[in-house]
Amino acid sequence: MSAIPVIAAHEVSKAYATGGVDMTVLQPTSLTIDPAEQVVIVGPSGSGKSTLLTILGTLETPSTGRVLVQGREVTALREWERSAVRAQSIGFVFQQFHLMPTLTAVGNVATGLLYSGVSHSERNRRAVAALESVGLGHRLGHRPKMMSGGEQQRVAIARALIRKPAVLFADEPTGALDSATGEMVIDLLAQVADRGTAVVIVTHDHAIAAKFDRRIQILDGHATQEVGHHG
Amino acid sequence: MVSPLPRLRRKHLSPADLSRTALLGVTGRPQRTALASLGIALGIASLVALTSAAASNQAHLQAEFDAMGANLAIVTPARDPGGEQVPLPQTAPQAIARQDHVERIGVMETTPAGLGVFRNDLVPATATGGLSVAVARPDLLAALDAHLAAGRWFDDATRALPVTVLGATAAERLGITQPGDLLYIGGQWYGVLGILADSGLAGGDIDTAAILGDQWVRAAFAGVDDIGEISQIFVRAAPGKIADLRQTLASAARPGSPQWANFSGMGDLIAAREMTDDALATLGLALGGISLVVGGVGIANTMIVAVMERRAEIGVRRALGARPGQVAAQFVTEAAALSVLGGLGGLTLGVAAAVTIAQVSAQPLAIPGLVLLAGPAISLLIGCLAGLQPAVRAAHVPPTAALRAA
Ligand SMILES: Nc1ncnc2c1ncn2[C@@H]1O[C@H](COP(=O)(O)OP(=O)(O)O)[C@@H](O)[C@H]1O
Ligand SMILES: [Mg+2]
Repeated sequence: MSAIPVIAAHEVSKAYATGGVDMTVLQPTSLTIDPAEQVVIVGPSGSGKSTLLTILGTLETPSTGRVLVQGREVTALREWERSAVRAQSIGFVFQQFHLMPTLTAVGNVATGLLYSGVSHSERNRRAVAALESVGLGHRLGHRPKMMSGGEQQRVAIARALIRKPAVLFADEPTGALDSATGEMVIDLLAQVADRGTAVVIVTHDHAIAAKFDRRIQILDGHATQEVGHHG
Repeated sequence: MVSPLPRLRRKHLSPADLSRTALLGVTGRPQRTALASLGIALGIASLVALTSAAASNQAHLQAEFDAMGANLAIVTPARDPGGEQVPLPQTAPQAIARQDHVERIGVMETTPAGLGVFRNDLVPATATGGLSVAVARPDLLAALDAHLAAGRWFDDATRALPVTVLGATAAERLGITQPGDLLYIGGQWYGVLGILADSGLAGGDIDTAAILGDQWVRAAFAGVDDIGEISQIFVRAAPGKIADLRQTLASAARPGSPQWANFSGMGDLIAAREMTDDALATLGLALGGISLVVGGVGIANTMIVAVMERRAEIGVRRALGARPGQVAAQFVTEAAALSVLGGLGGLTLGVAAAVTIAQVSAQPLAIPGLVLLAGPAISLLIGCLAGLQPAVRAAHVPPTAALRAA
């Protein structure tokens, strides 16, 4: 494939100094994620999944190594430039949804474009379209409290997708949902990838991981990549 | 082949987007907002109430002081190095009357020397009884805020006649209670035209004087040295403006050589009033200032708690592409909004209190306009200052807080 990878990580590692001792929570890891690729990062709790995800997603700087987003080395950028890269190319979905309780679904999704220089009315217009694309056209004016967990997570996905990112990172997106709803959210994320956005999902649930061809296994900070088959 | 990467651009939040975002924190939790802005509300309220009370008090005191002469100045001719009086030009009164803050003036002219005031022509000429003679133009009465106890004051006709208006003390010593009596002044009979009421402090010597009309004196004493010269110009100024007028009045009286005009005010009264004004205003500022500092600390505290509680929200915003500075701006704006909200509430409260205080103390209601503007402005400033440190903390919340914070 000649296209530039969406994410390219070269020998990234992360160590924390805890109690005067350097604790390496992620051993040097290299990987690339191509456009529209679906990747799952799987491993037990505390193994370093979120650490790897935040480094690939530019939320965290690695202790060593380099990360390139669409060919641009973000580890060499200034903070405002990294913020611009996030606003332009990267979407996030979190386990706890993290919607603003006082905003409606439209307001929450529109926040996804707040830092991208898009006008208020245009943000709202695109938010409606994004909500419709995740099947929430009937929940536009609802506040998070009035929605089920699955609906809230779909609002969060719409918020991540509204600016058409090159890659979407989801950290345990089903962690706060029952398994049926979780499965629906995973299916939705898979559809997202089919529409051209690469998707990276972190989970400790092997049943979910088994749905994806490309899996990155983490154990105690050691990442191993495998290409499997649908289970 | 390496394709060039598109340049990264700083996207800015519009002021509307910034306020919308900041107001989420204000309107989202009304109870917290009310508590947080209470301190500022009380501060602005006490500032408004106390400065208004002080202003009411001042207005009240000022009226009393001014009646006693605190807004009265007297311009007189100076003496040259040889001791000779340098007369004021005849144009001086009009020139002074034209100055800003001068409300009205009154002119006295030189008195002919050696005039005694007697009930009749039998009292020995040496026994003047401590009474003096003054020469006045008709405008003097109003300038002194003097009032007649009986009879009339000089008009354009009587100023040219052999009539006199007596000061209150002079009338009492001479035993005159009604106009129409005759007095023997400087070898000439004068009819008593009117009797002045006790002038209080403002009049000074006027109480012990027999006042003659200027045109009569000019005619009767024509050719005598200095007759018709201006001896004193009484200047009634707007409240509190006398001290500022010193230079202006001297220059107006004698353009080009203001050193030849003397200026005297009711110095002690002026000083006393300025002290009272200052003390009351200082009290208002001190009490309001203390409340505002407490209020500012309250807002800072609320915002620091808000930053700790909202780490996840901050992390999400960072993940959505917010720069640290944009997060900081959001929290400063939120603090400012809390403070201005408190300030507006306090303004309402303070005005209500000022009205009540004025009513209860039966003083005129005076709310300084400056305070009405300064209240919101001060609360805006305090809010920004109070929000500064919390905002810096917010800017330091890492983007990973969206994952790590509950
Ligand atoms: N800021 C931090 N300081 C110190 N240790 C951390 C920090 N963040 C994560 N860790 C540690 O790194 C390890 C991996 O964490 P994480 O990536 O969150 O694991 P996972 O997402 O797989 O549960 C854990 O042992 C965790 O305690
Ligand atoms: Mg994790």
